[in-house]
Amino acid sequence: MKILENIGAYLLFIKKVFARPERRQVFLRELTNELEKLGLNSIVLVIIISFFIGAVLTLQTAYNMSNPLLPRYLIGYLTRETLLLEFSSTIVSLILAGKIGSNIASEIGTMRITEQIDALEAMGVNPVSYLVGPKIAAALVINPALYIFSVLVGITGGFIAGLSAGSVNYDDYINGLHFEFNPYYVTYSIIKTLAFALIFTTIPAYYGYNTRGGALEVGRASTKAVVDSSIAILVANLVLTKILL
Amino acid sequence: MIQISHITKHFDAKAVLQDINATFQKGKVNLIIGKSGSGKTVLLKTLIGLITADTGTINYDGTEITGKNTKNMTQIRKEMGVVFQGGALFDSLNVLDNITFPLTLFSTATEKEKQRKAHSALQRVDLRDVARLYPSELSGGMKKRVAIARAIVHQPKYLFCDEPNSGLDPLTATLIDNLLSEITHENNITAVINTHDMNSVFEIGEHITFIHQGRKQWEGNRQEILQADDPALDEFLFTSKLNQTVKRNAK
Repeated sequence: MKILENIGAYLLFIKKVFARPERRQVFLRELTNELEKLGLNSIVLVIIISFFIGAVLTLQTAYNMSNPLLPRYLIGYLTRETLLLEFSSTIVSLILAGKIGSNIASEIGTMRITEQIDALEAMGVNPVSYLVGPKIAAALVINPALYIFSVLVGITGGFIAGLSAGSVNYDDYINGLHFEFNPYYVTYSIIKTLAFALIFTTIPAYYGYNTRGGALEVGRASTKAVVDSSIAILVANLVLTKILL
Repeated sequence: MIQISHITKHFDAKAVLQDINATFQKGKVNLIIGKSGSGKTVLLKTLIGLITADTGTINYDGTEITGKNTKNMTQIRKEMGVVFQGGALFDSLNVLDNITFPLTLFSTATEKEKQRKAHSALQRVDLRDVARLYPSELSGGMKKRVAIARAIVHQPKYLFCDEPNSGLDPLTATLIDNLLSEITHENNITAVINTHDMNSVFEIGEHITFIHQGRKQWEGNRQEILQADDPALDEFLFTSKLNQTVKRNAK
């Protein structure tokens, strides 16, 4: 029963997000700030994770393909498919749900308990639209961009690791990358990243906005936000995969 | 002038405000006093529309705001300035951006004009060289003064303050009190201030409403309060030996 209540309250919250912004100038200023906060500040993390996962994927695939009947270009092919279909969309979004989600929940939660949200309301601002709208817009722009970036970095990581370990040669790896390439997989993954961006911004924002009490509750809201948005991403991943593939 | 009639508010089964009637006069410092938990903050937030009353009406110079939708409420809010207990400055904005925020929302003024008004408001609250600082770099008293500057920058008709001098040293608290009183008289605005600071009551209280256990217990001015014969008011105001002496001397 409590879960249904929460889902209902969450949907009403989302409705408020899509109200018309107070002023375009204010919205654009906040959007710029959020693009920097959510996007630029996540790039380094995405580079590091994608590079190493790409490298490990290549080495593990090579290790499991000792059978001489299997062509070596499959190493590049499997690295590409894993990054393209699952890692760079779902796993990167899960990582961002932890980083960005906790940030959003604690930022909005702190604003709630220090009456900054009351101050916005007292000025006639719709605080949900003002605070959450730019975050969603920024995440919708930045998450697909980070996905593409992650795929490229992951493939590069695999290439460097594979070549330097002698697991695969240049031609096999590049051939594998081109082998049976299906552009729809990119579309499918970008659709997923858009859905995940919506999840890892709105769920933490909802928990932050409904924080009551003090610092302890802000911490709790942040933890709950990360856990629930991670679960929601996994469920959405399953549903979207069933629908889209 | 703000008039409230028969305001009642419950949270679950608990009655926080019970049948409150009061008038807050224009050009005067109207104080709402009472113990912690007496319902002062709920009353103030009900007045500014952050909490919806269960019953009763709120009237701003002839315009009833009770039950109005958000769009109409926004119109009234353009004429309000609110100072929250902790200042409620936006952490992500510097002092100048905090003060120009209401102007960006409510006016079509140019950036230069907004900055001029913000600097003028900062001067009015006696703050200099803080425009580029962030709230985390300010002291408690400075935060309150910046909050006052933000509340008055768009020249509101109504000013609301929730315990503006709580947590401040006596000297800064007196400065804030005097500042609020001066601003009220200079601009002939309706100021409603929540406080449990006795200095504020005796220094600037021109019209005082005493709330006790969610009800209006007493109403009057700072001269009348010394003569009042109300046990709950006596218990709240004249508990300390110093205040008891003040009352005896006044009588």
